[in-house]
Amino acid sequence: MTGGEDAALLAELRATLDEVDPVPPLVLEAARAAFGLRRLDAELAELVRDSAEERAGLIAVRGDGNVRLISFETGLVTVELQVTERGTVRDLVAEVSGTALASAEVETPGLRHPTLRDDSMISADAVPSGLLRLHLRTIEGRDLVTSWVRV
Amino acid sequence: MTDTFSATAALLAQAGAGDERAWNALVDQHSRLLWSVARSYRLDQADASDVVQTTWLRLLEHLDRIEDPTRLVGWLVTTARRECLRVLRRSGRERLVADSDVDFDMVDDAEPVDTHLITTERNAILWRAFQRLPERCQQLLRIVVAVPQAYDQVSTALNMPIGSIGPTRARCLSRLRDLLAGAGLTGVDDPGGDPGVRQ
Repeated sequence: MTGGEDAALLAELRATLDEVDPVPPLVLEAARAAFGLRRLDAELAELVRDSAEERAGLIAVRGDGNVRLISFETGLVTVELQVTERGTVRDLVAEVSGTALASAEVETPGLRHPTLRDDSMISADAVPSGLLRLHLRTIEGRDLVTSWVRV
Repeated sequence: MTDTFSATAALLAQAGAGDERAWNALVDQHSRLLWSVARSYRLDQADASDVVQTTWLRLLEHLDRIEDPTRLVGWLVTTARRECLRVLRRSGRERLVADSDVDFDMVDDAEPVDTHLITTERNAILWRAFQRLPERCQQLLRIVVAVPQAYDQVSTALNMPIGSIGPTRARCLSRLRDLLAGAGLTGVDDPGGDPGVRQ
């Protein structure tokens, strides 16, 4: 087959895929809207460990009452997030080490919940499952955000 | 196609400087590719939507830290792919075949997607034939149609040597043609205009 015939078939396949399996408009809208979630001034604490990924394949991780541990790090600051699954909601407890917190929020693409138990502990109950991140302000005035995670 | 990539790099810089229109342009230009990647991992609509959204959020997190903006396509595909594997691992659906194992001969026997909304019979036949391709063929072709010009980045994204993409693409297309012929559909570039279904 010639390159031209291949190109024609690919073009047709492209048109078919566009019709059969287009990007849903809501996906585009959400991606556009994500720009408003950018935090220019905040330092990113990257995801370094997620127990859900380590345990999968070894034991069942589905079902209520599962506890998942997710770790984030930036420099000397570590955030250990514990997520307990309760149906469609999640209970969160996070412990921060390497700094002391002045304030903290659990942020989802739609809303922010202020949450702080003491200067190293955060907790929030019944957060809807989905994407979230933590936004932390230290007592020195540093802004930190964790990577987004789906819980 | 260097111009396309410099234009992408310029949009990335503008978005990094706070230009929302540049961000929207990036989203509009590349979401289809990310969707293709997610769907090529056989994620359903909900999971694929999550992967696309997470990929864009990751780009926002790293907007100022993309090492080579001209390679944004490769970065996006690699990130989306990682998120797909994450979804599959979390839901315990990780494949038995490692992601890097290239098995273009393994027939895909997954359930076909609902086709009742397809407007033309020809599209329906092409779609059905496509779904009968080996999984890695579907994956490669979905990505190739979404970024025809960026073989080097496709290669990174799919863990395939760049030299094998052209020949593999040709082989996958040839299998697709065989499937179409089996379904009574002839080549797409027949003379005589309207490509129709031949009985």
